[in-house]
Amino acid sequence: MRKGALALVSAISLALLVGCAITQPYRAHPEFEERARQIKTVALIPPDVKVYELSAGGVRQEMDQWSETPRGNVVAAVRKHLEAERGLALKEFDPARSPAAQQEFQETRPLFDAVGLSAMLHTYGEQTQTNFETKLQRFEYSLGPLPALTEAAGADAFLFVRAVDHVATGGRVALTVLGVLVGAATGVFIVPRPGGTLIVTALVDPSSGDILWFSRRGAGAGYDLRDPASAEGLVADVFEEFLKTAGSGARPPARAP
Amino acid sequence: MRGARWGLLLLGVVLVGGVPLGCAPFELVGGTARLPEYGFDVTLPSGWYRAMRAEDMLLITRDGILLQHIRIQRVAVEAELKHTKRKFGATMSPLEVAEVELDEHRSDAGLADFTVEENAPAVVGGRRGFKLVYSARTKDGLRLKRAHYGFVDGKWVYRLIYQAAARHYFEKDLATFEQVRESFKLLGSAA
Amino acid sequence: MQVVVPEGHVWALLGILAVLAAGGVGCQTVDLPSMAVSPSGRFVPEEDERRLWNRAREVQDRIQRSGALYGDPALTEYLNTVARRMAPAFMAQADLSVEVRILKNPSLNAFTLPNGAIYIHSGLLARMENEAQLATLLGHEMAHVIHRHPVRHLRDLENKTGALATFGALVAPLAGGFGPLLYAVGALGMAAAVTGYAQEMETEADREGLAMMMTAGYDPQEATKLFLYLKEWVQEEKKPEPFFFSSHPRLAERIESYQALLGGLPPAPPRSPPPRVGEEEFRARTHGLLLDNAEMDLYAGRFLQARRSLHAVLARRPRDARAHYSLAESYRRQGGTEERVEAFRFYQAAIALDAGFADPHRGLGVLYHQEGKAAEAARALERYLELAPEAVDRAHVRSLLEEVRK
Repeated sequence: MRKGALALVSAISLALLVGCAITQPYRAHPEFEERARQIKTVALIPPDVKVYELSAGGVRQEMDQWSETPRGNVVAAVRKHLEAERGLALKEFDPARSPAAQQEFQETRPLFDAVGLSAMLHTYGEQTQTNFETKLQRFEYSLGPLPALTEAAGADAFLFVRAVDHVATGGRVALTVLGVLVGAATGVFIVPRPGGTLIVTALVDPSSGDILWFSRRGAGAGYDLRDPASAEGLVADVFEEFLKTAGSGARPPARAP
Repeated sequence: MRGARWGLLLLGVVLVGGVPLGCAPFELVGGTARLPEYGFDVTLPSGWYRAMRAEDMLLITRDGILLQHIRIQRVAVEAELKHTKRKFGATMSPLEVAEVELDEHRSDAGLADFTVEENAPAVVGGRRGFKLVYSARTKDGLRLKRAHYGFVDGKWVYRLIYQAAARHYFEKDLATFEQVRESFKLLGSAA
Repeated sequence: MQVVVPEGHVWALLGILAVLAAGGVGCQTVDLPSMAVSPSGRFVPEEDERRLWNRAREVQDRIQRSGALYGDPALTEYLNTVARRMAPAFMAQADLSVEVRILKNPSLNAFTLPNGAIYIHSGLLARMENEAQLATLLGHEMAHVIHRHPVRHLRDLENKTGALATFGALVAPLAGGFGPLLYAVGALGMAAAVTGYAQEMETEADREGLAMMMTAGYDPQEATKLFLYLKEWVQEEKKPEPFFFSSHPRLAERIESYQALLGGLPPAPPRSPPPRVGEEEFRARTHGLLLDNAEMDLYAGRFLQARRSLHAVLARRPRDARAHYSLAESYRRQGGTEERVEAFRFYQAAIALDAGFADPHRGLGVLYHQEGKAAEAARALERYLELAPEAVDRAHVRSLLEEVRK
């Protein structure tokens, strides 16, 4: 897998291991409210959804055949929440359709990884003490102008979605059970984590590349992106406060601390 | 030069480095910073954060080390470098010191597509030195760009480096870095 | 971790072992037949193997975009021709690409992805002398793929780490302070088992790779030389041994393994054609790479290695100005009185061969400046600026020129 994505996933996994159920609010650009009112059409960049199998020893393998359905579930859930519930038009946009857009996307993707990691470290960094108060006050991150992608997509905003799900194998589940049994018999508890789910979502202004809205949501266990209802539940959590203003003119709620 | 993965490693050092637990990894800075342990004064821009656990250097960032950072450090003239077996020499001209620095970064196996855009003499802290501007791609595919000033003073080689993602971030704070560089002053002559 | 030894824990642990057996932790088979042995005649990968190939393709894409590939299409095509000559037909039928690419890296190394893509460092190619040595490497790497070492290694790792985690879970509560010690011993035992398994794979790759090489008509006597050069490089660099995909080959053992295999070969039948070494074409094709790789060695301060490559170039092309220039640079950068004499000699040779070549003039100017010969330095630096008015370092050279003119 791409090392940038691996770094992203590693940082996310670290965060998962450090915390228990992580539910964090969104982060928004200072001009989000004003710019969100202009958003009618959102171009969804092909979501990057990876499902991993965790073996008993913690060896992680990406399961391609498990990733296709979760990808579809995430797209369906995003469409439902943006179109049916927020009145926005969602178009699935693949940069590969245009050589210029594809080139620009290839250049931008590693920067998006770096921006995502920085945003998580410095605005979701309570446990690691790495929050930057300046970035919490003014959440300003950017990918730089995206003229080729803007021309090809013909939308008011881009939506990037990255999701990672871990499924414990029979072996690891047995080990979890084993760990609990050992604990009950001996008073010593060793319970390896059964898995974790995380979804990172970013809304990007196509002409400036500014990150207008950013969300990181995850949980130690309890979601399974292979299940449409579970995927929808996670996406619903993500978009609960998202774009209440987009297309509707209403004020967004105050950002949680 | 640090890409996303190496930035994470650097961050790892920053988070778990030698400063005692309980000391936050980052602190907001601004104004004059005197670092007698490294032998210089410098004025730091407000709104930037210093990585408190970064060893052997002053390291500051505004948006995150992966996106941009300024670092000032010194290495002993006789020190072994990380990627090249070449060494500095106390009597080297700025051209030769710049050549060793370029060889050091070109030999970094984690970088590809190394391009030198500028290599010229410069005055730093009142000393004859050099300015380099170069860029390279990390294994993650992220293009990074660096403005690197350097000079030799006694038994030390000083480095004032601004590194940022080439796309969008490099131009954004280049002027800030130049102000930091102009404010840089050695404390007496380095022993 | 709190360690407690309650009464009756042995019975609890026996019950746990029963749960463990039922859960089937750590029992994937690593005993897979090679790709050549397929009952249907067409190899079909296992599910986890197919996933490894998918990951391999992603890595290939990333390498392609990274700028790390060495761009010499003719040389790359030549390497692939040699590889295709050796690759068994079933590899193409299995949808495995036998693809060889060169990475810009002066260290002596190579690796193979699970889907058969082989990456050779420019440093390793530069060290080879002929096609037969190349065939040794390609045969060894292809054998890893044909015998499915990547997926076998993955399964072995999963089995052992699964067992390790279980072992840890079982051992932790035992016997007070001895618990952690037992865990550590168990862990070491597991690691040794993993290392030993990888060694079997390497020996298999040696044997099968040599067979492929000989079937393609190459001289097997060239096989040990590759590892001898690697051993030399490791000693020169004082490095830990180079890493080939999936294992650490332990060079002395590789050399012994090949020597043993060669010793067991039957004598060649009388009047059979001599086996192919392929030095002439290999040298002709790698000329440019030798020069480029020597430059990387220069930057890295590996002057001995740079000079070895450059002298190999000059042995075939004695009038190559760039080789003379790079030799001069190797001496100038190394420094020293005798080295400076050699640097002068080679700069002047480069200029004599190509009057329009700017860089040697800069080198001479720097040397003359170091020796306090102002007039000569000025002439050389002026000539450099005349020949390369847009050089990136022109401001430095102008500054040096002002200094020598004072």
